[in-house]
Amino acid sequence: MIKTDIILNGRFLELINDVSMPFTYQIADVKDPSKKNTNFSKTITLPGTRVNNEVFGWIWDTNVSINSSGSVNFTPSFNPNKKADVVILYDGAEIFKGFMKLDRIKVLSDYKIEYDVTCFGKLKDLFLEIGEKTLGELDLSKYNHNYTYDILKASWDNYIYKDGQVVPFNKGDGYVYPMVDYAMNNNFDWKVTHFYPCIYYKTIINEIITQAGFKYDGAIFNDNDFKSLVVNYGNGDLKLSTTQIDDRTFRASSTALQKYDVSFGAVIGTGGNNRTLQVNKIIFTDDTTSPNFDPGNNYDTITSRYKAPFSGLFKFTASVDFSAKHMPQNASSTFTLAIQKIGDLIIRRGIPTSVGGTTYTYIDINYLPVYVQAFNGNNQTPQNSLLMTFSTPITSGTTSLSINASNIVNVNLAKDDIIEATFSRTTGLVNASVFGLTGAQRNVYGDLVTSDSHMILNVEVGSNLKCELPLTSLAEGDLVQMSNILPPTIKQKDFLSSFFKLFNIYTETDKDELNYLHFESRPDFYATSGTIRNWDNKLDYSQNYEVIPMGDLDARTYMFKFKDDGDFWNDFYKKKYGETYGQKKFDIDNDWLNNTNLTEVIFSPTPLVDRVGDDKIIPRIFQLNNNGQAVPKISNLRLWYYGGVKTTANPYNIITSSGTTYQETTYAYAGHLDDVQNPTFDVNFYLPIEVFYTATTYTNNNIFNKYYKQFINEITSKDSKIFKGQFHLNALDIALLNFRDLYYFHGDYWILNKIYDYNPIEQNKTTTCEFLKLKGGVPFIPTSGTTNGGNDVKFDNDVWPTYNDSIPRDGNIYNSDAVVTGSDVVVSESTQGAMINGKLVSVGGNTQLVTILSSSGTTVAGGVERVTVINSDNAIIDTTYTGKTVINGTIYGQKNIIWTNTTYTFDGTESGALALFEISSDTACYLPFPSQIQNGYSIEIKNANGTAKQLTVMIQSDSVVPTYGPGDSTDPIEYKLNEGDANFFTYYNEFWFIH
Amino acid sequence: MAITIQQYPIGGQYITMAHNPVEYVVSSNNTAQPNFKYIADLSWTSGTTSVRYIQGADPTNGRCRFDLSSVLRNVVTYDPPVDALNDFYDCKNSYSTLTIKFGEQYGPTSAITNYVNLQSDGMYIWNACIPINRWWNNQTTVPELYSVKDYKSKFLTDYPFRVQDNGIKVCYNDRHFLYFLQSGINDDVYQVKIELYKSGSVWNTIYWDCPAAINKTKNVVRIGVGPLNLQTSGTELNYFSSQSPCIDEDVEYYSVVLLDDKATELTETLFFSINCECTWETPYRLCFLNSLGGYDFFNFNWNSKKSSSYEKSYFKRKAWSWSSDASPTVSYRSNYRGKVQYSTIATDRLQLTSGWITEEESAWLEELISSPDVYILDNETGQLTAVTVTDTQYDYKTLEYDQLFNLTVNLEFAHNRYRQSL
Repeated sequence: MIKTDIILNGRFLELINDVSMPFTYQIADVKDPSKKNTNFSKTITLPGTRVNNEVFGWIWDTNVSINSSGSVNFTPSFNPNKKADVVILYDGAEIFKGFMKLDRIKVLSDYKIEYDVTCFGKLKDLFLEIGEKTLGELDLSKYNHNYTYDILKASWDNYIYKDGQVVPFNKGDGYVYPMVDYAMNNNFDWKVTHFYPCIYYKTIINEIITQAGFKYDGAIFNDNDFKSLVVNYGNGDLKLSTTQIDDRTFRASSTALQKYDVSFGAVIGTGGNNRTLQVNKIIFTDDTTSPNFDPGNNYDTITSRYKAPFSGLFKFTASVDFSAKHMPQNASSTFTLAIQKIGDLIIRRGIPTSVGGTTYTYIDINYLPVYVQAFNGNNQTPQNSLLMTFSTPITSGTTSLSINASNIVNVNLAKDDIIEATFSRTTGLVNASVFGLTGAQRNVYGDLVTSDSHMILNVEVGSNLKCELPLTSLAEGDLVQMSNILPPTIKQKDFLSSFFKLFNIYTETDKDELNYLHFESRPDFYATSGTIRNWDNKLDYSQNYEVIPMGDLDARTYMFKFKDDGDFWNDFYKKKYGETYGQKKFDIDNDWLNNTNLTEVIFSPTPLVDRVGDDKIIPRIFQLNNNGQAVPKISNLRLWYYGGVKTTANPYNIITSSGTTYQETTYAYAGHLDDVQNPTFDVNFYLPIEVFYTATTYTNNNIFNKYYKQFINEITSKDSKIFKGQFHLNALDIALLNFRDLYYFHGDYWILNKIYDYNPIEQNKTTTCEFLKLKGGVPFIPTSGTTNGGNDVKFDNDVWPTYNDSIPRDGNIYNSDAVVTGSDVVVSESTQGAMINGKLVSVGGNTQLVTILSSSGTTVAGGVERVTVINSDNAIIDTTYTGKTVINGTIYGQKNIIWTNTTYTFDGTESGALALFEISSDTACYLPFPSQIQNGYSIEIKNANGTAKQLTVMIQSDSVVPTYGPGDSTDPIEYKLNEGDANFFTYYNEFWFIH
Repeated sequence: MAITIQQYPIGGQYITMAHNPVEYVVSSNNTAQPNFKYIADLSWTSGTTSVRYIQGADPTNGRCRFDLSSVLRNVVTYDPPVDALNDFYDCKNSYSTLTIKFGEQYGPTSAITNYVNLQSDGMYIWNACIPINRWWNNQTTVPELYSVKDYKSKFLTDYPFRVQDNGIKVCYNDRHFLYFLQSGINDDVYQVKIELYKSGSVWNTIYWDCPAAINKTKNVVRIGVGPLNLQTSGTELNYFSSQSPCIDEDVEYYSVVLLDDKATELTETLFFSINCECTWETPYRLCFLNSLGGYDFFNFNWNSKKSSSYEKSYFKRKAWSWSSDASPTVSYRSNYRGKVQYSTIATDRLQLTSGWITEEESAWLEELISSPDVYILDNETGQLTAVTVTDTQYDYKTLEYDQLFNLTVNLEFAHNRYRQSL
């Protein structure tokens, strides 16, 4: 009787015989299911029966056409070019799921046909279901919440948001905002956005498994230590999601021709340079037809206005297709046209005159001058403007041309500010004579008074205005989309593998439900072993068996470690001790093995660090930039213990974006210890050699000792051995198979290691089974104890970490060649001969002989040599200062940048330079575009000439002219400096000084 | 665009055998078109999808021969008398109605166009597989011969003896079934007429109405007409008989013929001879699918030999055990098994021997040896037991060379038996 069923596309195929499918069961699959070999292929010959012929669409008859047109098989008939879903059952139980490929058809005669098919696929498996999915594909949206002070602080011990509802604080569920020093503040004033959410490890594991369609259980998930574990966010500022960005941006285009007569303007005074601007709003009425979009409905197609949905930085681009028509009064006239400015394409900002009001005060925030020329000379086009050129002299009739103008501006808007695009005739008058006008058509001021001859400027259909977000960081108050918190590049299977590795997890599939998994750490797995199975009568003594001494030992060295990371403290530890913080290396006394068995997880360690004058011992993750400054660093994932709310004797502030300051006397602690003062659990694999705080108490209850120590002791025992023999197994034995059971035979108890190729249809054969005999290991008993920082304090052979006072914890970081007093002084390791007395001083790499005395906020760039700074705060010293001395803010030995041409262009590398212009005429300079410069860039520009000169400051590339003066000054774009004059302007939220 | 059916399958436009070539020859006046090919779309009553054949034109005459049998042989199966009903039974697995639509395709390689359903035909198939020598020279005769039509039409059996004094041999307690084919060539079957003879004269006549549900234009029908079948009461089977009971052990033979509603005979008059061989062996009655799509029956009354073979597997246990008392000690006892038989698979076989058979019966019984569907029929219960004939060679016996002969057939039961696993 055939017990095998092969189901192809829902049809039961007919078989010649049962399909022989041997299965291997091994503890290795339980220990590390990610390595479970679930690949399977089986070649089967199927008879050409009525049913099979029909399923395969009588494909054996070469005259039958394959009736399949879809991209998948069986649409509607069998298509040999496509994968066909197949399921194989044995005795009604699914044993295989995959694809079937028709290899060949053997037409032995017209009445005897056979199909050779191969089934490819994988056994049902958690890792198969997860596939290549990344953590970024994990749906954590149920934990979305707003980025606010109240919600941040509530996560510490009060409540979180789940499914949009407030639910009580419960370790292991959702998120928490612990205090972590990412070098974003002075450790005293913290913004809300300086806190990043951590997600409970249990939450992530739960979502990975359940979203793959599996259920699970295991004692470890109820363990308080496990429930306290959190995974950090180390990817820099929290980012907006695509939807959030789309909801804040738009693109709208014009659907009708818009005409402007550029020859007219109302005269309000004498002379051609003093008249009211003729402002025409450019109308964009379509924000729905692709590529237009406005899902946030922030753009009003009636008023052609964009209303800012939040306060922040925006980028607007007005892309306008202009066409110009010359309408001469005398059609037969021939003339040329010297370059003339006819107007400006303007992006302007409207600020509500009252909260929620609909009237606005307008500020033009960017101009694009538009010029026209008709074959007349070689007039130079002003920089950053648009020139419409008639390529030949205009001889008669109507002539037209067209050009695209793009006006781009970045601007900070307050919520409810509006943005419009306008075309405005310039204050200068078009030279009317070129239009063939005579005196009768001009007034006494030279203004046009007739429409008989004029120029028309058209805004063509398809012109558009769009908004983008230059910065995609999440702002305070924004919705934190939790699905975006975890790194999108890390695969879920790797994350899950680390779970198995960290906690030495053994996984069993439920015998009744293939998608029900049971997880246990190894100590729990065998501690809760249930049944003793007597297989003494199943061992076939008529066949040979093997005994392999220490057969489970596969390496001389067992290494357990976290992944290295490049942040300052991990790097410091690694360089000092030549190993990873918190690693465990276990060497075996064995003369025959020389390899290493490495257990490494995707997380990186995080040294806990304190600071002088601050009792908060927290993770500090940063790096030093080229100037030696501590700056945020994107880090690998970290796994911390959330220890709850701690009290501090050194209060700090949390400052909201609205300016409200909350003085805090408590903080949320997370780190590799459960409690820094009285630790009972350490997330590290093993005790570090040194910690960077005064650790008077420590614990040896770490990952290695808790989850691996007994196992390692057992397999390294000289009395451990493997037994491999033939056993008579039946379906019931397999059904009851449990690797946690103890199996009795040959006079002793054994742990089942592997069953080789058990074949359910071959009941007439014995099966090879492999067992492990282990010396009974001693369960680990953790202890906590005190230490005085000595390097020889130990318990149960575990050496307590030292805490070395030579490592400064006052924020000062420097090498042995530096002399440092003060606080928050960071001197690069490659610096030679530094002498620092100051605060908040950073000295970059490869600097030599730098002396800083009685100064704060000093930044010395890498490569600087022989510089002395005395009593000068906030000095920025770059290589141009080499060989100079700064005393009380005055530079001695200054080598200035001097330009003598009419213009000077900065390229972003002159930070700290003093630029002098000594020319006799007015001049201009171009500042670098912000994207070209680094944070903290500043320059000084000074008039070195003896007389007052006019300096025009413009920005490269986008013709943006910054506004001047304090606040929102609308001063003219040109600014006249007298010798020694100093002023500043605002540009991209930074103050720029001009001396 | 013109497609012409030039030739129809065996049986003309009415009916043909599913397991023989089902050939259509078609022609077109577009064969000169680029990329020309013929199309045949085949669909059938129980099919949910149609099958499309696409073939090129014959280079010598431009015609195309479509042989649809590759598909059609899988469209019909068989209907053994598994439920042992005596009444009319519609053998729905044994026939099917087809529709064939012919068309063509042609055009430039980049735009080949299908022109379908330019000509069509309806066809009826049944599950016969008739040797080639019976149809190749007279194609339309065979289907007609086995379609109920007139007094010459045959039931779906080739049993060699069917006349009054030499009919189909049956015992009084034998079940027997006849299959017949309605093809629509003539009137439908209205009733079956059975005349039972004693001493050479009609002793009783049975008229048995064909139920309306069965009385179709085209189908295969089974009816139970063995002596044991007829012993069932007329009330139960809804037939009319002039005697009650309608058959007894004195009946020597009886005839079966199908009638239309005008009492016109639609088939041959088939005779059964009640002639039980005297035997002290256990008789076996075999039921087997014949090449005409019906089932034939034959008794093996002489010695039969049943045998079984076994596939056994062993392993060896330790020879001792703990005693079961309060202070267990190691003990060796006779019932402590060392070698253990843990798997036993039994295959049962049966060798049957018939009584003396004639030369004609020897030729006819070849259909038993080659039949793909053979059962042992339990006359008492009507139960069928599936067996396969394992003989791979058959010798036709003749009077001239073999003189007196019988038939020995080797059977293997289709299902294995298993024993306890220790």
